[in-house]
Amino acid sequence: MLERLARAGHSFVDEAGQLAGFTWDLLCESWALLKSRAALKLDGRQILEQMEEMGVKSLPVVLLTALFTGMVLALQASDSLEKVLKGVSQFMGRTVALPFLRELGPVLTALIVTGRVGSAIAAEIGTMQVTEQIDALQTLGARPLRTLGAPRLIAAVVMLPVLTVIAMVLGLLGGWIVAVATVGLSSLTYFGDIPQMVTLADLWKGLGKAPVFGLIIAAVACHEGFRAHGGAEGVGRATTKAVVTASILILVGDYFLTAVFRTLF
Amino acid sequence: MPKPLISLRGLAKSFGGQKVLSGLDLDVARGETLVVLGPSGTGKSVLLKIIAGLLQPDAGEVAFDLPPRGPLDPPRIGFLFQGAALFDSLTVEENVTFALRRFSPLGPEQLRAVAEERLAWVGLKGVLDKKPAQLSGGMRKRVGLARAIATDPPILLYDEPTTGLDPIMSDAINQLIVDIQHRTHATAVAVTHDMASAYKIGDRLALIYGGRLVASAEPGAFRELQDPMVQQFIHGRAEGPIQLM
Repeated sequence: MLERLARAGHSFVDEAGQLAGFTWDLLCESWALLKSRAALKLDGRQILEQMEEMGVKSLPVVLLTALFTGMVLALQASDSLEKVLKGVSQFMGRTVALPFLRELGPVLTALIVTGRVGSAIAAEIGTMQVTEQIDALQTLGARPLRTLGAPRLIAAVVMLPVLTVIAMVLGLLGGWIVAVATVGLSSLTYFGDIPQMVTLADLWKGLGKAPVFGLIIAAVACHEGFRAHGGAEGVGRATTKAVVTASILILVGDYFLTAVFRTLF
Repeated sequence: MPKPLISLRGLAKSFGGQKVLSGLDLDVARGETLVVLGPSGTGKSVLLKIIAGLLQPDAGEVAFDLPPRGPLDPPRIGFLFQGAALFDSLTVEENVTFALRRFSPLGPEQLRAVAEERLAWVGLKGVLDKKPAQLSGGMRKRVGLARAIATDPPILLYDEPTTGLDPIMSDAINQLIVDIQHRTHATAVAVTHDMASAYKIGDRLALIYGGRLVASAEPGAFRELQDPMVQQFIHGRAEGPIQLM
């Protein structure tokens, strides 16, 4: 039993080390891509394509998720507030806005993008790996990490904050719909209550997490894709592992980022 | 004897404790096409990948008698992969000109002209704007060949060039390899277990087994070699010194 635990611990440390090393290499390649005009000319188009894939095409699912989560949050808040004290539903604005700006906006968006984009990245790069396309890139003088990895990393780090802001706005709107339509608050009461407790620092605390989550999604998905092996089964394994690992890292990372931001702001 | 263009000394490679190559020595003369034969799983593809620099050997060295490659020079090795390994997301033209776009100052029209020319060399017309998924297996292989020779590399490596193709397409690919050899005078190493292909394209045949070179000779002499492994392989017999993997 102890031996098995030790082995599992050892392999966990090993995997974490590999992922950290890979992420560092990916960051270096991304930086090299961004600062070289010649490299941007060759692989820059990929950044825009990936931004469209991650940002524009993720928009509908992010919009829907954020809207309905905001609505549910408002319904629950209304029940809880009424239980505490009759007539305190006027505090609904802050009750929806605070968790949405600090936590739900960035975390929900990151989890949705992990499912939609992280899986696609791992599957695409994994397929390229098992069909020798990554080897082909190398024999044709390209650096796979720069050509495939860097554009995805850059796109994820840029697009996650954009999607997160949109999710925050939609979450607040979802809350507003319920506040007005179900609870019977006025728009002024709902929106007027938000700045009573929520500050700009709360927005930054939430938004600051988004690029880190983007980094986690791209790095984990690329890492699993590049080390995929064993045909279609291997690609499937890589895809599942990418989604599971990235989701866990996002949730664990969220705790530590929250702790750090609490001391900073 | 002139210095070989590719010289392999004492190559060893293992995967997870299984020895694939163990002290392989092999030379390839300038302009020669060497065909490496061997049963499946004897490290033929690993050998090609080590020559191409895609894998690092555990021991031994690979030397090329070529001027050193600068950072702006095109790759010196063209590689035809077993499954062609075309980039799915790019068109045929973008596949063929992939390295040229990185290592030559050619503009879009010139690139298209080069792609057209190289595709004509491999007998393809009117496919420039197609995606790899729209092509048959034989066509993909030919596009892969056009991509491998696009920058006129001095070394060409072929990994199982006829595997998965019908006999007629196999012969067509073999003929293309011979034609390209005449046209480019490149030094080539082809890995196969298809004897018809080996006799057609090879200037010299080499059999590897157990991670080492068993024998090598020109096609005519190779056929006459009395080595039992060579005879077993040529005649495709299940019984003999070569054990099935």
